[in-house]
Amino acid sequence: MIKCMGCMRDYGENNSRCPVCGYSKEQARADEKNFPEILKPATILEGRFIVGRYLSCSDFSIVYVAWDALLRKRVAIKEFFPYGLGERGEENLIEFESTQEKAVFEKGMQLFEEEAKLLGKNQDIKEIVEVYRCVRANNTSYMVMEYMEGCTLQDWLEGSVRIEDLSVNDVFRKLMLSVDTIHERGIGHYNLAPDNIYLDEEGNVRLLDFGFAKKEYLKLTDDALDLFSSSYTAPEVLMMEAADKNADLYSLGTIYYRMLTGKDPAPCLKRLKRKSRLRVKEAEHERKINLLAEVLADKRPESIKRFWEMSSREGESS
Amino acid sequence: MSGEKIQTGSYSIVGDRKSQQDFMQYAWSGNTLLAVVCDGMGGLSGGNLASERAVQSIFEDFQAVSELPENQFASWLQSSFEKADREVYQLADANGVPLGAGTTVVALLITEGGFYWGSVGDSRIYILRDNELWTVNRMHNYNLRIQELLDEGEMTEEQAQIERVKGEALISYLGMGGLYMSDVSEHADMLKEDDILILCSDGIYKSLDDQQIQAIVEESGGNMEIAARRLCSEAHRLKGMYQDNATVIAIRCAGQESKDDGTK
Repeated sequence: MIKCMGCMRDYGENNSRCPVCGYSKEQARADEKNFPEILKPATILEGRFIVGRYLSCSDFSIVYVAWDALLRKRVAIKEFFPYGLGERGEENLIEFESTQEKAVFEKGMQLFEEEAKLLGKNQDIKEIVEVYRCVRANNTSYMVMEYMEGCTLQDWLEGSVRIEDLSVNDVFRKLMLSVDTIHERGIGHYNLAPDNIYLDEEGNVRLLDFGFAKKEYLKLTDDALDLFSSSYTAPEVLMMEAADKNADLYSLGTIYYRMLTGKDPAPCLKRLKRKSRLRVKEAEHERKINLLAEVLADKRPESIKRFWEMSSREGESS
Repeated sequence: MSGEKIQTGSYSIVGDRKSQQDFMQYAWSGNTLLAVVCDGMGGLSGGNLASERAVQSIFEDFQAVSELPENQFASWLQSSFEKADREVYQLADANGVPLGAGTTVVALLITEGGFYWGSVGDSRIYILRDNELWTVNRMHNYNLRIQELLDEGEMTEEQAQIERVKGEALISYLGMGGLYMSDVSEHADMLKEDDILILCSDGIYKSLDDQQIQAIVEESGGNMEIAARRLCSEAHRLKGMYQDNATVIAIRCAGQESKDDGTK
């Protein structure tokens, strides 16, 4: 039997590609050509995790599917590897050009591990993807997480995945409740966007790719890194100002706009400059969206509960 | 050790068996925590009656424990096992026919001075400290006797290999009507911050090896409810079929941070 490095399922040696996910050696070579910085499939970490195909690459990290050989299950592994800092050298090691570069990288890695620790301690919140541990290897850190079955909110909105009996309003209500749950625990997300909100097979919302490490990392580097979505992130986060958890309300408002219109909202800094409102067909929805996606943090409701109070009061008076 | 520094979690599964013969309980009396896991055996409903009766019997006198001087805790554990053994032995059906049921027991008493433990049978107590996991208690099964005979030169390795086929048969349990073998710690063992103690029935360690148990507990974010639940669910998942009843009580010495994360 061969373990597929694309989906971690086993298949017969006579097949040239995985009969389930279609992953093949040719695909592996193409991935390596397109993304030379990714770990080679079948790299082993800590003698336990077999790293497979990359799932996503960003300016902050690379996420891979992996096999936990000890607990015999599929996991996802996020490698801390910010763009512009270090290069993949021999034996997968990340190498640095200067001690200064290495120092910035290590500070970022510390933030990455602090985020993992915080998420690991909050595994009882079912709306958050489970983070199990960090593994140090190759001069960087790897966050070992639950492998999410399901699809992103973006996939669902684009219609590439269907979930029965699930409406836009159902999803948005669940999303609001999920974010309220993490806020009640004192955790802000800071990086909500349609491509990092997951919907499981029952349509439940699961949050991943938190942004509090990224938010702090942004302050360490002068590079204009594309760490956050300009359309869905609150202006104060992008401008590296002190951001509170109500930055997530901005993201929720813009996500709701996308859910209703199918369009990305204008980048937040452009909106901030023009003080522009987001327009949708129904006045009630437009009011809610603009209450949440207020560009000025101090004019935005400080919490989701406060938003619910304000929107119901405004709804009554109108 | 005071109550607010201790975090607890528990979970039980029936597995692929028809009934649940494990029974467990944990409770505080003053600043003392008592945790007990029993794994019953015996036909019909004998096993579950035995484990339930043993747990109830041990907890009946628990209120008195917090008033005892700590140097009497070990003897209290021993005498509570002897009482439970008699009560399980006397279990009978409606016609007065003895059930012939029995049960294992593992018990932990956590106090200001540390922890005391006791065991009869083959349930286990693990300690996870500084990334190392080990079992505190001996398994009272035939393998133990085989080892003793090997050590005394009374048995050859060839004979031992043949005998090990029945090595997991219990040689001591509650309900024998006189304890053949029991282990109780003589002194308090100190608890360090972040120590985790796991009490479990054999449905856990016969499905998960020590490395797996350690990984599951360490990767539960210090949350004992999650650790206990995952030990049971992963045991069932990894065993695949014929999963026995499995029960876990997980206890963490959480230190000061615990006050705001839902601990007692």
